[in-house]
Amino acid sequence: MSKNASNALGFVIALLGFIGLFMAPSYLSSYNLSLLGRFLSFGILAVGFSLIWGYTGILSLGQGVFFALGGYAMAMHLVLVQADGALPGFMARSFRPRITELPWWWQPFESAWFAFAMVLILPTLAAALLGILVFWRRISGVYFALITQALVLAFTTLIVSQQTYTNGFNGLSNFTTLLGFDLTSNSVRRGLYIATVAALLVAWLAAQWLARSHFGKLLVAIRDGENRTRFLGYNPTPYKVVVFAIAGLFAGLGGAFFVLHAGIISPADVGVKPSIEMAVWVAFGGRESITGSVLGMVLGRFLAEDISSRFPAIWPMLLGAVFILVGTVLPRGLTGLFERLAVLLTRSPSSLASSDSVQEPFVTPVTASANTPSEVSHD
Amino acid sequence: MTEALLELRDITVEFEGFKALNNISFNIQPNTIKVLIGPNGAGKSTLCDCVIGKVRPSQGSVYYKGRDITALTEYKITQAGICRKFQAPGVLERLSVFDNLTVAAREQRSWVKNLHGRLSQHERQNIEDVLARVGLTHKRDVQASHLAHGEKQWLEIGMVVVQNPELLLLDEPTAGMTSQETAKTAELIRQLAQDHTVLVIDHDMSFVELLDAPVSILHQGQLLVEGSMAEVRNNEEVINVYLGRSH
Repeated sequence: MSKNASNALGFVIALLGFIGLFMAPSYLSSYNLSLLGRFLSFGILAVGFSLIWGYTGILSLGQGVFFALGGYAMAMHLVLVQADGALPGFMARSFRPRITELPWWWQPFESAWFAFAMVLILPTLAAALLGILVFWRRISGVYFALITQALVLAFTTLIVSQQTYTNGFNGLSNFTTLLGFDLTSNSVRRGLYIATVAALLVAWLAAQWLARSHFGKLLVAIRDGENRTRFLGYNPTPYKVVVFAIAGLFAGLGGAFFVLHAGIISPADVGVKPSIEMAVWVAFGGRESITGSVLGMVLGRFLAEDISSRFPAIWPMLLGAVFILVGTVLPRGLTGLFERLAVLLTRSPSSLASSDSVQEPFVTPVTASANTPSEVSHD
Repeated sequence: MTEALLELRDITVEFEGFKALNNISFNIQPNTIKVLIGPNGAGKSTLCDCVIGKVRPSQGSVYYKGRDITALTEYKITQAGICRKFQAPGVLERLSVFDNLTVAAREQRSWVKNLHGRLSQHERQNIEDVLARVGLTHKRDVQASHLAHGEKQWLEIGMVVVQNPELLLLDEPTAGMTSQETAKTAELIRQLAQDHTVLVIDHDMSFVELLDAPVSILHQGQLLVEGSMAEVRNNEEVINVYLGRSH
């Protein structure tokens, strides 16, 4: 029953956290609020990351792609608003190829509602498509991680190479207006922040609900024994495709909010390195806990902002150290650590040994087959 | 003779030149128990793998109720009514005992229908019955990884039973059990055989005797002999290869 108790405790802590976040405009400066909003955008992505990695055991090193799809869809609209009917500056300046007219696939982004729809649809569709292609072939584990990493590399290379249409390495920036609101004004930024927290709350609640449904139980079953679920009469592929598409949706939503807070999105925000960092921070927070994943991610973004600007030389080493730490002694991240502490404080020492006896390996769960006594005796 | 529920026709399974099963034909009549025994490496588990689609035979076909299921996807074979208990307990380690049975008992296998909906009255009753039957009612909320080995075996038997399949393949159901537990398992299997068909794979002789069912001996990928336990016991060939008196 302690599991239910710790679940309830986690739920209460998370709700208190959300109340704190909703009240942040009263105690944070406008600059810090915007910064926090940016971190929370990654938190929305982390919700989905926990579902695919923590619950289903699918490690994706390419979540940056889906984050980018949402982010760029949002940014394209903002750029067009700023251009106000003219060709966006970087397109007008380009000369290889020289273009005089907005490309057809940019045109619908004049509409804010089309852009909002694309923020949700593009990443979901892309993730579902990738999932169908890969999971149907029963590709999983390290191979899947490598495919997603290759995908994010190809994706950023494509963006950089298509300077005329994407502004390449510089990314999309210099926009100030959405739906007539001035994104630089303090009141709009506060509203935007509240919207971000609300989106995170919705994603978090949806994920909690999903995790507790039969669907969620199946995800855990697939993680621990994908073949076993097949022999129980389930086809795991649609489950994996759907959860991967949901993670794509959350990543894209996070990307769109990130653009609104940061005022820019470029390949440097979504490439191979940021995508790997996402996995590191989710693991640090505890991938098997949705709340833990969000906390790890937000903390990670905060550290990235703080330490990397003050001590740029130390940052990569710190990141590596966190990766090693989580991979070796903290496979369940901060969440696992807190759970152990909670057990230590509330229960007798004898129960401690069994509380965390199953520690999953870092990347792919391996099912060991037990040699049964009677089998040996007849050899 | 009635139509066999399961029929293997001339099955050969090769692993890189090694014939794990060599031209085997084998069948089971409805609502009977059949026991398959043989030394390690005889091909017992491979035979099970063939039936449930884990291994594809290089020759021959598997028929279930007269339908060729050799090339069906694993989950479709299971949905057709064949369910297997694996040799190493295949419980879902990180789910509770109750949730393990829930996953097995759900009548819905599609993801859409598992998004919403609670357990139906029938499903819940079914799970409670099986919990009581395998003696795990008091451990319903325990995570499966915390069970003792014998309890895991029971849980997995429960997961097979709760699906109520027509054909049960039980691969070493008593491995790691005490003799008391073994006797209880034998009793359960005999109960099941009243309205199910059961194929048991084992090499625990005392357990097989408790089942009181026809026995087939598998040796080096081939069926050696079939008959009652007493007949098989006194067969010269069996004594030679299985008990290893001379080789």
